[in-house]
Amino acid sequence: MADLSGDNRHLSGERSRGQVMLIAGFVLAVSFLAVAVMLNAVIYSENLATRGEDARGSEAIAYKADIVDGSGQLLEYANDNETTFVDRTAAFNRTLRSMYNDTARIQAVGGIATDLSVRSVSEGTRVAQQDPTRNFTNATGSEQWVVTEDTAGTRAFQISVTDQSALANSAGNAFTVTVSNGTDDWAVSIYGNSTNTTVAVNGSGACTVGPTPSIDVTGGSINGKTCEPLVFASGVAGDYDIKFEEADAIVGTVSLVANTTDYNPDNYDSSSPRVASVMYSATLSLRHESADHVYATDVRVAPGETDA
Amino acid sequence: MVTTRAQAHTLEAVVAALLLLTSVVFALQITAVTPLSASTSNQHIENQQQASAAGALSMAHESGTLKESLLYWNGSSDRFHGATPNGYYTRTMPTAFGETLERSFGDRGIAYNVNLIYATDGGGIGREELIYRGVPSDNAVVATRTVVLTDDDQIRRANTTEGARVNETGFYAPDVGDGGYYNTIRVEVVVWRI
Repeated sequence: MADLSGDNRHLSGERSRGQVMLIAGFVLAVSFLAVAVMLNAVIYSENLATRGEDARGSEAIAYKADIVDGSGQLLEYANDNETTFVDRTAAFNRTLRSMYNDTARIQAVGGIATDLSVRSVSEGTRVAQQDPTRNFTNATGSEQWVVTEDTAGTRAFQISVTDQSALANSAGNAFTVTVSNGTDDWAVSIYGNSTNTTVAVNGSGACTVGPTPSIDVTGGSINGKTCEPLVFASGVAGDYDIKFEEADAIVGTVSLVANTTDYNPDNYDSSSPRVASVMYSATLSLRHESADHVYATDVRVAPGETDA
Repeated sequence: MVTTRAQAHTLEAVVAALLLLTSVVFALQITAVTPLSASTSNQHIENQQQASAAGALSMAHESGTLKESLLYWNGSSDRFHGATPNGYYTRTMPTAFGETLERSFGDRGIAYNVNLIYATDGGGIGREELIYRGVPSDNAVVATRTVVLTDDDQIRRANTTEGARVNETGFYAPDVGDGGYYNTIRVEVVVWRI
């Protein structure tokens, strides 16, 4: 404070006290500014940390899933509607190109550039018995037969039971699918009475459902509901053979696509069961690009595969 | 002389006080209204709504109910089953996907639109509104998924059972594809607080 005593001896001291106050004011002002700037930086980094969609990464992942799903449908469509492997591959390539053209245009609405191409297609074998009044024996009527050999993978394995009375009553003589690589086995049996059907997986339990079920063997579900023990070829590593046993103890339809071209043609004829050379899987190269990110990857399309 | 000095000191004190005050005011002003400040434009809420919409879409896509809803088309009256004469629904739609959206957003004061974007002949883009609840606010967020249709896909009857194949009916999206490919539909879910 200014000295009001009128004593001139303290003149220099008083003057410096005023300067100290002024300097202190400046120091305080600068430190407030520093605090404000720091606070702002903290809030800004907190803001950045809570923003999840900076580079739209999840959009790229969703795009990948959508493309896998869509190409899977086109692959199955080509498999169903063409007759040879070459024709099927050509049809798949053609429809995929057509789909890509549209997807690219639609994605461009959201400011996304995309690219999609087929890198490779692998040949497989489709086995189908589509006569709902027939059992699952081979073309010569044998009830124990090898469906495919040296199989590297299986997808879209569907069994549909149409005649409940044809099923065995117990596990002993039930229809069984066996997957074996020579050392390890995996097996699933289907049996039942007039009210229940049991789908028993060797060594890991069973699921019991009503009569005439539809079983998605590779998808692990029965009538659309998950069956926990049903995990196809679990514990069987490497290439395996798929065998049907007691194939006269079931009536209905069965179809599967195996990643192999090895099978005994004597087991099949032109009616039931039939065999066809189809696309097992396709590998696509895709790219998803915006101003913020570039995402490029190879994806494998194998609709209905256990791990897919 | 003494009086002058006292005045000078008083002035200095006032200046210092003003300086302090202005720096406090400046410090308060420089702190921006952040996205975390409580308001309807709260970025945090937008992120959450976006994630919810993406989740609902993914779930519907995985279970096949998204596709079922896209195909829930009444070919003879040229609009979705039970929709308003404008072609869209104004509340929700009577499919599993509609229920999912209603459960996720309906009773939480959150409005949503569902738009469908598809390719048209000649390289254009067409739009169809599936659910329309009004013009979204500035704070709306969007989640999208893409669904591919093949010639084998069937439109759904009012009870969601499968009806005629999609290329044999007056479906809203045309058959632009080569071979078995039909069209691609981008589903946009726009979500905002009301």
